[in-house]
Amino acid sequence: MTRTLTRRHLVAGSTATALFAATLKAHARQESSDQQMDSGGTLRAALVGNGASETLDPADPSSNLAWARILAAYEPLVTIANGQMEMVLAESIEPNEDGSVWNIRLRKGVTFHNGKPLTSADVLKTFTAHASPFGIAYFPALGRVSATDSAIISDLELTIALTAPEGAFIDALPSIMILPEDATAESIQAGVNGTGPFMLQSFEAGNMAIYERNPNYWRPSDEQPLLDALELVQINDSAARMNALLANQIDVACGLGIAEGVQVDSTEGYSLLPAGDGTKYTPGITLRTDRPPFDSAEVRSAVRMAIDRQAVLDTIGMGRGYIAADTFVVGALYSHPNLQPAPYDPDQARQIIADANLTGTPVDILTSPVDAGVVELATLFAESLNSIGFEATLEVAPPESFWLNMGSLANATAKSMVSGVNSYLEYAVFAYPPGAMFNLSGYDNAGVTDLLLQANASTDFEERQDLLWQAQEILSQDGPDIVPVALMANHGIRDRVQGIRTDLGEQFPTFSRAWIAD
Amino acid sequence: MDRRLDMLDGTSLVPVPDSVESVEQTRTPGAGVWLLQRVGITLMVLFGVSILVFLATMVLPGDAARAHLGPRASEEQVAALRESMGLNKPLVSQYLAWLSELLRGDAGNSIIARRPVTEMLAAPARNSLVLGSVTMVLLVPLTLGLGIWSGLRAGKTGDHLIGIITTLCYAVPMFITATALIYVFALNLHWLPAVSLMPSGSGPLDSWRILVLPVATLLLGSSAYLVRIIRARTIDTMRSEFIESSRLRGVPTRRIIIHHMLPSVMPPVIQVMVLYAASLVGGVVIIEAVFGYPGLGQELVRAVGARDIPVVQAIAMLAAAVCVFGNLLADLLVIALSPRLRSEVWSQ
Repeated sequence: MTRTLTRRHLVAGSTATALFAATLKAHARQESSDQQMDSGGTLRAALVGNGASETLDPADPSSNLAWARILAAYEPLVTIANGQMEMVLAESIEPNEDGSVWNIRLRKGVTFHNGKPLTSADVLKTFTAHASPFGIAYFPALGRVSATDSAIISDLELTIALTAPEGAFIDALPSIMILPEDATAESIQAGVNGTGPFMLQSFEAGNMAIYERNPNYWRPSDEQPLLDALELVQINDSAARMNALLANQIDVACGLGIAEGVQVDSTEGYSLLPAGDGTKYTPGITLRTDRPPFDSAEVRSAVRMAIDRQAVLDTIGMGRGYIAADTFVVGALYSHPNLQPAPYDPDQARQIIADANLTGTPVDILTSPVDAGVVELATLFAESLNSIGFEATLEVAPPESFWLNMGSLANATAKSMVSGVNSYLEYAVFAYPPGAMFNLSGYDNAGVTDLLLQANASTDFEERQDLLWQAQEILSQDGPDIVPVALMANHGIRDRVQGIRTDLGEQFPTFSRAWIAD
Repeated sequence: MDRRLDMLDGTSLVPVPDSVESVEQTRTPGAGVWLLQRVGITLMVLFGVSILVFLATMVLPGDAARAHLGPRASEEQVAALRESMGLNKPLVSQYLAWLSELLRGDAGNSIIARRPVTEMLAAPARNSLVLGSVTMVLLVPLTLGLGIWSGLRAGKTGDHLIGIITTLCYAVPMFITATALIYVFALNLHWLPAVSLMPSGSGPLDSWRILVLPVATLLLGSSAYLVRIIRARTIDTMRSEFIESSRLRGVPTRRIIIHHMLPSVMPPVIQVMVLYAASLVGGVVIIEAVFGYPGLGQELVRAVGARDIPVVQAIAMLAAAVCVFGNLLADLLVIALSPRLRSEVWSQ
């Protein structure tokens, strides 16, 4: 139960520099109260949701609230915890030589909420029948499974065949929740059985979902859920979530804004959840690297030197996070732990810009308040550019259309980006190869592309990790992204609440081991 | 012939004669015909609104299919979804298909949730209806009472006090009022909940305490304007000759207020209140956000952001329908309350 400070807590490699005092205070509080750990009680957590359009479909993780519901009731074959792969419903997942066929052995003794045992038929159906209307849209990996060539070997063993070899197919599995064989589009919408620690009792889209403890949960006694009931409610406004917390209407207010986080942390009886080991939230700026002024690697290095990363961390992250080295997806699977950020040296950066005859060059930065700190980071970035001789201006787009207008995003010389995915590979293959669907920088580095393609094809985890670390070392120095900090999420909690984990990622708290102190 | 009702709310479309003489000159049709005419025009307005709503939702920036699939979806996936959503059909075909289904009571399926819009919006609509209704039920007597009381004491301390308070309430943005109320009554006194959490399966009336602060905020924010209108109308009416002569004849003040003052004050107040009620149905976005109240306003904001066009269209049409039918009802109420207008419309 005790959560200790791990390598990732203290450092993001040697780049970690800041753990906020409140974090340490909260850790101390967590550890000192572990002896009183007890089961029972109802925990109520508030998250941002999509209102009446919320569904119970585990293949529809369209909001943080939806993710919380999914993680309460459903489970995948394998997950990413603390930046590492961890088997869940699967006992083993092994590819053949080229990654075109995957042999999956399931754990014994797992049952769905209605008591039906988990079998390979459930897994095969999940991967091939796509009962959910959302399945393939959200999880393209499902579309690469061959229904005809996949086969059941026994009750607890099956093979999944792919339409083409894919060494990193296992990386796509943590997001795919296993449904019972008899799941239909209708039963999914009604809240079909899962195998997770909590069982759905009631659900009202846009309002709340109530769960009770799964008495037949398959994990050992020290991993059983502790709460009697879990209530996941929607409160979309950050200030309203904070008010509900401070009025004791809820026990956990997830994803608070900066101002609300400060207020919660300074209020007696409440605090912010300490950092977990999962993926950090990384707001950043992506530069267009195929045209002036950022087509020069030297100019990009000057931009990196112009950023006062500690000031950014203190300003937009309240000091809760780490200094990053210009790669998105920090703390995730395959994230490089030892990247060195560029030193803060605005004088040298100014000299490089002057030598390149770029002083006075206008730079438009497209940003939008799509997430916490995004516009603030873009503002600080503009100030940094101006301090070394550019004439940067911000264009703030409405959040509703920011991600929709891909043309504007692609054309912008510099634009805000955010990422919190759990696998670096998942992000990188979309963002860096030329022509990749999310390459909005025009970045074209044959070495990086080759490393990413090799990693995607490799069936060996260590090899994938090595290749991706090499790619990150290049991207950190040469890439299109300016990512000064990796932040923790501001989850406000009442002091009596313990055991909430963010191993999957800062934005995805899990309540399977949460408990309430007397 | 002038447009008396137009003067009241600026929206009535049917001319109402202003004297018996003019009625005789223009041969105004009877009440039944007038009503039919009025309903017909209301429906035509609604039809026009449907075109505007449809076109407005079609020109929202961004692509509904892209919004649904996210930025990392391929162009092929987006194109396939656009096709399945019918977004590639000509606008006229899309409009006619949408309108014919709407007339059959089918607002379509949400692009995001892939569920019927009517089913999705049932709970938020109920919640908004309750919030709006409770507010209106309290707003009418509150503003009438304060406005008339203030008007009857024009220039005195009580009038000045109400003037200051109402001006203050009018000047302060509603979200600040809401925040102040939450701070005092929820976070410090712990008398009331800070946000509107409803147990699953229940409605706002089942847990009435969650309504107190949102309704109080709406009352404080909206009563100021109405109180000022009623006060001014009261002062004007009190200065009229017939009130003066009634007073001189010794008619009690209560009787003057009930029989003379209210019929004079009510028509403009009804018109303003109906417009206000329509805005409540459309959703009080700020109030719903601050209090986490699950109503139509939040749904509208979400649906616009997600380009969930059927939901946007349904909420916009609902608000428009309430507005135009509310105006019709207001006109009827005004006519019912005004003997002169009543006789003009009802006369052959």
